[in-house]
Amino acid sequence: MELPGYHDHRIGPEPRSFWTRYVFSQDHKVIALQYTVTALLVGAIGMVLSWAMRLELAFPGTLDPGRYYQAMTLHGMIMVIYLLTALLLGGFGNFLIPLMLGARDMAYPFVNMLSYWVYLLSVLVLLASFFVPGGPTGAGWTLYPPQAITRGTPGYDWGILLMLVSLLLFIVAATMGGLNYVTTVLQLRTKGMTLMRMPLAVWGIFVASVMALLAFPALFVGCVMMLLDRTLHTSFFMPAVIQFGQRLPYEGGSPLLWQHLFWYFGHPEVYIVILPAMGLISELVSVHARKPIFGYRAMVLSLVAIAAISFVVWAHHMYTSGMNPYFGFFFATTTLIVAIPSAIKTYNWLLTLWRGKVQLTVPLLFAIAFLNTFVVGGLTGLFLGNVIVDFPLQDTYFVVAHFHMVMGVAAIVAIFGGIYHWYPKATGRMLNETLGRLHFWATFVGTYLIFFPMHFLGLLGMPRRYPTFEGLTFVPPSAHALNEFITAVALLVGLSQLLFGFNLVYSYFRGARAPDNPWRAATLEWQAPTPPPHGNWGPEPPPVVYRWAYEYSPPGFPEDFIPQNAPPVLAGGGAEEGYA
Amino acid sequence: MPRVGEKPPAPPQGLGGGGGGKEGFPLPHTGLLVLLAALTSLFAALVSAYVVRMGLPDWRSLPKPPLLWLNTLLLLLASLALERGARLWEGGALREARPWARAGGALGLGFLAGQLLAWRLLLGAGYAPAGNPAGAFFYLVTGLHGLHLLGGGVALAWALARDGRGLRACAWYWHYLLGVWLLLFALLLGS
Repeated sequence: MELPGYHDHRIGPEPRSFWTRYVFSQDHKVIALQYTVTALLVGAIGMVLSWAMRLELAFPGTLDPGRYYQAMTLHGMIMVIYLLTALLLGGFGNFLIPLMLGARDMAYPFVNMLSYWVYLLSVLVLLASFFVPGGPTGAGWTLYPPQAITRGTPGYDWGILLMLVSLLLFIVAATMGGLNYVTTVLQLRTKGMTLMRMPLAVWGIFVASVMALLAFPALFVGCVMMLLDRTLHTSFFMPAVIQFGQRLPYEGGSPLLWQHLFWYFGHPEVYIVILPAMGLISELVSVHARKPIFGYRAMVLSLVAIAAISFVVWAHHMYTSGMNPYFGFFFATTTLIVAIPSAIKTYNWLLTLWRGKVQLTVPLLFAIAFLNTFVVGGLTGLFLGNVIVDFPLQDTYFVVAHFHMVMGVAAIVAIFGGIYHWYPKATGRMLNETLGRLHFWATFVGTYLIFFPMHFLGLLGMPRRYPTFEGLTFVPPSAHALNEFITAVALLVGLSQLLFGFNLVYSYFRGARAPDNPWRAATLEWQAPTPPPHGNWGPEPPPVVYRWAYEYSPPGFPEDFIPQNAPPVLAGGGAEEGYA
Repeated sequence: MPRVGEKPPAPPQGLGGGGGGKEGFPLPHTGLLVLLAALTSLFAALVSAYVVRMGLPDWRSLPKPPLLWLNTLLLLLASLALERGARLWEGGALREARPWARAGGALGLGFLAGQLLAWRLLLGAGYAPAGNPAGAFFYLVTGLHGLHLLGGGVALAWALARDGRGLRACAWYWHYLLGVWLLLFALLLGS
């Protein structure tokens, strides 16, 4: 049966067999769930790796240094790329873009399916490195050469090869996904859905997808070059090295070249993660405070501004690598400028909450946690953006505290908030509220207790990347005690995530039935049936949009929200009639 | 922002998607442009690494096989043939378009074969990827460019199998890769 639409875009008929329906599905909602579940599972592995590191830090000797570096490398890679990027773009992007825009599916459903399977392959290749001789690479998540591909670094034989191949696969998957997200946003919006009526969640994912399409290629080129250095002994990154009295077959490569390629990807990557998170938070804040988002246009422009600036700040990760002071000055300036659009966004969220009818639901609690950790982590970013302040702090726990607060905790609480918010639409069941609140407090308070003290450890000069601090006379005993405390909290916070996992599984089968629009939200996805069928809008033509996405608490109306697709009252009809 | 209850806005005309299909910009073309933006980023990263490395004092340039000029000519002809094929197809003449598109594909394959031959010549002359950075970069840029052309060949075969649907996008992709090759070739000659 042909589903009516406003575009020349046709999606296939509803699949009948189990395999085409749930496994090799081309339906964006199924692909979104596949991405989400895979990313959460691989994220759980990343969390267990952080436990291993914490145990070694509190009780030296638990892990040998090689294992510690392997855990550190894989923890960083998994969390930043295989969890956060995949979940925010592949999970939320896939689920929300077509539903929020009134489309029937993504522009290229087959490419979309391929994107997930290549992502899964990249995850499997990555995890395979745990089982090869020598184990995964221990080069650090930035994989700096020459040590990344020099004998003596853990995982020299196989780990680094699998890491690079896995990254290449991930980039292919992310490119196929990004192609879909960007094209769908540009071309498949429903009647009346102008760009400036799009929900901010779509804006965030859209801008981040554009960034991913432009930033990942730099990493791709770098990975290919390093792979050639490792296998064919080319000298892209490898200078002449004498190791154990032996001359390695390299000459004339530039290790700095890798750092530039890596961070040209790596810095935008931070925003590829945080912009979709900002978008989700904008939805949660507006819906659960029952107030129109404050400064919609400024929110959109600041998203775009952050994205643009983020391509000219990469060298602030390389101050200590040595550079011309004028470059340092340039990159410090651009870095600090990012604070302006970020502050605009923060004030707008706060002003949206200000005097709103704030409903302290679990999604909103997580949104407030995001605002909190984003501001705290962002402020230390202002410290580190200055060359002169960065120099003494760069190699300490201050940096660990900074980026975990601003892109680790902030991004993951945004994801939690998003899952609590959209789970009813995706599954047709409500998540358990009590478990959700428990999970929230354990996560929010717990992560604060983990990462806030690390600022002080950093100011004490405690070096990061060290598996043990024994014998460092400048580290006082109190710091060791604090380290043990952090480890204890990390174990508890990790365990408390079981509440979340249990809630997801339990509610899927036993949760209360969700109505179509449990949060009484105005965006289009909540006007679709729950869970949305194949093609999203049934045999009817997709909804027509008449207004922006944030018509909450309009004065003089019986309902406190007006859906985007409610036709306006005709001239002569009183406002008290509400919408037709 | 539109307010409800004031004078109602006219019902939205056309599509929110800026045309998005029936009367607007065709979907495959948007996808192609997005893909080309990503590829431009890829080749820009490659070229900037190349240029930076060239500027270092120990750069020793490679001999340039004259065969590369012939390859360039083949790729140029491939692009022209595909363009002719795409125009004929757009005019509705699928039967006439087919041989042109096939010729374009064959010329592209000829280019790839020529590039492989150039690799052989250089390898035979003792320029392995390891050793000289100029050699490493030569194999890298020609290899990545060739792989992308190969992907274009697969897409072309796919388009021909579907009565030429997507032939226009294929032709654009090949023109793009021709442009990239001309840029890379100029860099090669200048190094």
